[in-house]
Amino acid sequence: MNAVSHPLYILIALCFFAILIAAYAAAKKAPAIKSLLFMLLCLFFEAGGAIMMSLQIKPGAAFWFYIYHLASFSVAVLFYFHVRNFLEKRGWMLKLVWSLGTAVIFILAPFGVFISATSSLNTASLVQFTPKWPIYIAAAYYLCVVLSAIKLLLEDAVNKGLRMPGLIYAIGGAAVLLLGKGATLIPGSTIAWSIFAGIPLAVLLTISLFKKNTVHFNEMMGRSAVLFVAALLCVVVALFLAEPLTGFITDNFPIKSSEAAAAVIAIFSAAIGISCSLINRLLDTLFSGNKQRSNLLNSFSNIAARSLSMDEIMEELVSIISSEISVQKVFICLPENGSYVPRHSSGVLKNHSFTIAPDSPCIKYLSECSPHIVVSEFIRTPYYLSMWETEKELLQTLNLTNIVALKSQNEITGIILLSSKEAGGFNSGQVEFLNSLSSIASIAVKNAALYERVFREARIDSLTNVYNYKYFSERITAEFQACKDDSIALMFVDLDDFKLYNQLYGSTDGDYVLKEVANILRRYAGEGCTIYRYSGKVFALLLPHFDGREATALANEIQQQISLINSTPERCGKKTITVSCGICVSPFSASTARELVENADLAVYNAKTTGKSKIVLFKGTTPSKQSISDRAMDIVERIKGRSDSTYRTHSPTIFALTAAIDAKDHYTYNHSLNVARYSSILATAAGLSEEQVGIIYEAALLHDIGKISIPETILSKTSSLTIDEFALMRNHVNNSIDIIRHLPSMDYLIPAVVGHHERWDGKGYPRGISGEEIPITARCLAIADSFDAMTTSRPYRGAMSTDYAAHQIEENAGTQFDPLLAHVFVNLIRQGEILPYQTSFPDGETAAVAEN
Amino acid sequence: MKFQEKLKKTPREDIWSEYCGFLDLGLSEYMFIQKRLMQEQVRLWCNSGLGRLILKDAQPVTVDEFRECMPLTTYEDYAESLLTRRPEILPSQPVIWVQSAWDGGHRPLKLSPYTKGMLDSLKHNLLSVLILSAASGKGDIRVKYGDRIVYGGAPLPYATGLIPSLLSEEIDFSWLPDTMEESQTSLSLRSKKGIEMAIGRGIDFFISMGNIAGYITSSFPGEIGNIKPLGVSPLGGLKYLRAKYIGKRDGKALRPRDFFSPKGIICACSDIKNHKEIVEDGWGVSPVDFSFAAESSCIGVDSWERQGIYFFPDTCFYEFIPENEMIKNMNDPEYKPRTCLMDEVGAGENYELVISLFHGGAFMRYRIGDMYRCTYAGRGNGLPRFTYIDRDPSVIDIAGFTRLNHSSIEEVLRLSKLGVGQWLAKKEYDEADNPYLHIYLEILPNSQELDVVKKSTLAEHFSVYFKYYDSDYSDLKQLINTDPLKITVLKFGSIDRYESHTGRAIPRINPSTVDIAELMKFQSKSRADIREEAELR
Repeated sequence: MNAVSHPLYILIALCFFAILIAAYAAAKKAPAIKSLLFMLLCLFFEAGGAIMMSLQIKPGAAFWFYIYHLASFSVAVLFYFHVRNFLEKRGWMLKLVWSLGTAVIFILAPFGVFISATSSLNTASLVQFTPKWPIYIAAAYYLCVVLSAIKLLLEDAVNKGLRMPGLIYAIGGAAVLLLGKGATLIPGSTIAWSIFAGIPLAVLLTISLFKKNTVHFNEMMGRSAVLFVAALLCVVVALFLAEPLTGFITDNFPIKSSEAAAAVIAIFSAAIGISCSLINRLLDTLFSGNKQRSNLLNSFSNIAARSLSMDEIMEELVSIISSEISVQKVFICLPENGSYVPRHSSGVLKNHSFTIAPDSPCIKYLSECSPHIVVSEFIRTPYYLSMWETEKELLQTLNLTNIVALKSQNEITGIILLSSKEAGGFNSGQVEFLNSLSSIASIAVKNAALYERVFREARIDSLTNVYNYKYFSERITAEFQACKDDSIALMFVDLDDFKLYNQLYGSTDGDYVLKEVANILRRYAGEGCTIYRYSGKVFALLLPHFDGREATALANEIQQQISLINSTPERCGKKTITVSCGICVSPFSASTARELVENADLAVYNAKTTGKSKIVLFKGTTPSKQSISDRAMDIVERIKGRSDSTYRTHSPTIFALTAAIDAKDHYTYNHSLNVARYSSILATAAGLSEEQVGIIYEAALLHDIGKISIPETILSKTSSLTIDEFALMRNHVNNSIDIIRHLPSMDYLIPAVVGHHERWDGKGYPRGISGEEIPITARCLAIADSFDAMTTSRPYRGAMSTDYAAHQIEENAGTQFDPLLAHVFVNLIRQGEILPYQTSFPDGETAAVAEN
Repeated sequence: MKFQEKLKKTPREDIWSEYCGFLDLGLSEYMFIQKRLMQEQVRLWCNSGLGRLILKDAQPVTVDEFRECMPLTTYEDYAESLLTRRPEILPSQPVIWVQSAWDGGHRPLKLSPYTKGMLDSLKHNLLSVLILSAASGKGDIRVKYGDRIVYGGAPLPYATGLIPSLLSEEIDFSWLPDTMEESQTSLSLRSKKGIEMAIGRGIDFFISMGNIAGYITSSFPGEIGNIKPLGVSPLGGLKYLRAKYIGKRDGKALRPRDFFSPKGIICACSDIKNHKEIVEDGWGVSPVDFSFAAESSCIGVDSWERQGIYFFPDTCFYEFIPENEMIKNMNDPEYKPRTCLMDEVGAGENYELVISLFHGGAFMRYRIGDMYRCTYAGRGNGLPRFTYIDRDPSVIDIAGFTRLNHSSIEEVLRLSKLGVGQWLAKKEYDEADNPYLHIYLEILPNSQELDVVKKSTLAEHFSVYFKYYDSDYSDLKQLINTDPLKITVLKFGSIDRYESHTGRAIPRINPSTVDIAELMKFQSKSRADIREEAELR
């Protein structure tokens, strides 16, 4: 038997094994990796022993021969161990038998029982091996060990199919091992085939572990390590080939040996350059995927850390998954009302019309078994048996291949549904990436959901599940600004006689009606429209890009649907629900958000006061050729004369109240009439609508009604008031409100009355509000009230001149009074539209007496 | 992926887990599947026209509420809706309607709708049955593409006709005889034909009713004796000659095992008690029992251990009426029998099975009419197992062919015009455990004088009836190796006198053995003896 006469390939094999040992030593120590590591060590000792033997290193060729021999023999049993670990087989009996057999061979081998080695005297590198007959027993034993490993592999191939990851490579490795050892036994062979076969054997077993995902390349070595190893291999090859190549050149070409050496250096330089370039490319391919994934994960972590917006997180998550993994569709479902509903998905045609029940077997599996479902495997589990037909159909319709849980502390905060483009599903790298991504996303989603919930709870009306007034106040200006280049409509939907409804059927039924109305509004308001519960029985709809016609049509639909709420058989005995709708559209009838709200409010007021169950579109005011005061009086008269006017309905009440104040304090009575006239003229001049003029007139008549409760001694006191008396006097505003709010359906006057002592600079009373926070009706009253107070005689002073009063108003514009309205009022005085005058009641009614 | 592809591409462990993994379920997991699928079914069914029709005003939401307010049903409750084929009132759209006999043919054929979900479930279950019939242990899958199957079931539109159709969707088998070509022949003839064809080609699976499998096995020497060795394939001829030689040498009759080495034999549950032994002895393979009915489809199967039937968890919701409750209900039809669930059954107890179909099926809390004995209650470890006993006592089922109840026998007696007075009918077994129908009857005094009322005449009339309603009746005698009908003529007035003597009515169908024995003793006594006995009491 001859061997070890060509040390170059043995040296290459040695380097190769050393590299693999270093690489595996750095990897995680799974049982299959450990056993392969030991096997590689044996192969290393086999190759090392052979080299040492050929180099006659001390303690001598015989020693190194036995090292070579024993290592070579141990490969078989270690291969068997590796196969068992690779196939995850249990049991120890055969392992023990093969281990004991190998131990016996270990003990006998040094005594030359199997092979005796003799060195040739002529050639130092040539060693002669003389086999003895027991070698055949050892060979048979070796064969049995390898065959038992092959049997295990083939059994699994039959039971699990050749598609079991890595199995085919492990079988290939077994074949190589057998062939290598068999070739060694060929008489006259001078090549150490078993060492030579060790290289493909190690490669095949490494691939099998890669395929089975037991080991990952990036775990084993970094880029620099690979480059270093490659350089080392090149140097070794160069060392061995330099001399023979130089000899070859000098022998075959007519050049000197120094030139040949230079040529060899040039050839090797070129070869190393090319090798480095190729290796670099290879490494780029191997590492770029990981690097990109790592970058994506970092980028997503940053977004997850800084953002609390669920939509942003979802969008980024879907975008990252779609960019890295070949997916057809991605859906992200989040818990909502006890089920998981799709919140975000890839693609334009989004099917968000499904829900996943919380007791779905998929959720149960994700929670109990694994946070990642591979659908093709899941359908083989008992969990699949409890799937509903609809759930099975969903898997098929969406063509789902994987489901990943966003799991945070055993709680599933969301699920990602994925549909792969590839027939075989996702590879291990992609699965790993998905798992890492889902871990980061789960925390981000949990935080965002928490924030969303708090945000929502603060802005959502708990009864009707629409936005509350607080959110309306926040959004109205922003929405108005967003539509400044287009139109925006605001619609108030006010339930008619709702207080009566509650009294008739109880507040539980009333709550039901409110919920139903909210549901109808939700159904009919399109995308982009927002619904708010403005007050107890009033809903507001903000309708961006709507014009008057569209808003009115929508209001019609809503009215119709609401009227059907009590038409079901079980509710048919109850009162039909009607609503009054008031609409204002900017820019046609409002130039600011505040004006939009006020006008829509006026519109709904108008609808209420003109018979209810109506839709009123606020259309602004029309210019006229009449004098302002005449127009104002016309408006007042028109309102008083209208059959559907509230004034007509409430005139006896207003008369009774004004008569009461007249009886107590005649000045206050006259003062109220004057203020009613002045303020209605101002309102008309300022371009307010007829409805607003009417409100101001009525509010002015009653604005000081609270003085009824103030003692006559204080009202007619000629000297200065004490602090207490002054406080009592100031309280007349609250008293007025207390009286008015008990008058049926006259609560719309309260904003004007309560605000008539407020100041533009916020120093007024009772609330101390400022600027445009003060309702425009109150601002009008404030100016008219002051003007009349100044221009009429009081017990403690005479009447001031009109010019003086106008000057005072001008001077206090922007501090006490609305500057624009003050300007208008002063102009009206100067134009003669407003003149101080006395009042009387020719017909005994409470009415403004026109002068001029 | 079709089953055929799975065999190529999927590890065996995964296939086993998919089709037979339910055997490893714990009882709590099993009940979770049952209750969850029932929840879906309750929702679908209660919202359907059929559900509203039967439930009237009740609107159950949970499974418990449903069990509380839903009465136990029989086909009569569904007949009006199903016999008119009204898909719009069903919980799910049917894909196919299958038929089966109702009251032994006394009433129209029963129609049962099958939805897509039910067919998918049936397909899955049939593959499980096929795998388990050939398995020698857990994970052992021996089903292969091209396997030869001798099939002795009825063709479509009978429910058993779904078996070859559905299996063919999943894997290509060689059916012997061709399931389409031979659809008009009787069941036993189909089986015989299949066996003849298999002599030249071999058998991998044999699917049949238990009785037919037993009959084919017992009659094999006779059947094979008619085959000419040269008429079959050369291989078949060689097998024949070899078997003949061995038989002659050992002095034994030919058995199927001399020709065939099937992987599995699948038998529908049977009342022939020793059919398993006959089949196993004849074929060398222990047959696997499976539970199959037109209304329920395939609901249960034996495992490789052959220790009893496991019910599939995802096909029906199972309830069990304990035997004593069932008897109370038989005596008092107004009585509502209590039912128990799979996790409440007790080993050694007999139960009448009540099913509610999943996957949008029509039948809910349906008394399918089969009696099972629980052999293992499954507490702690594993699932409960059952063995099929018989039909419920109000029905006499002979070898799965003739299903007679009170009204059908009454009708035949009326048609016979033979002046039969009181009668009793009971299913009895001969020495070889073969079932037969035993009618105990009285002849009216006038008829005794005017009509031909010999036993043979009466038997003839019944035979006419059997043949009229069942094409396989002509094979029945051969099948069970005995006459399926036995008649005992009682002394006129014996039954009435016995009832007044004992003070209670005897059930006309399947009275107890004690009652029959007492009646026979009673009728042999003279009036004087009876009077004396009464006085002594």
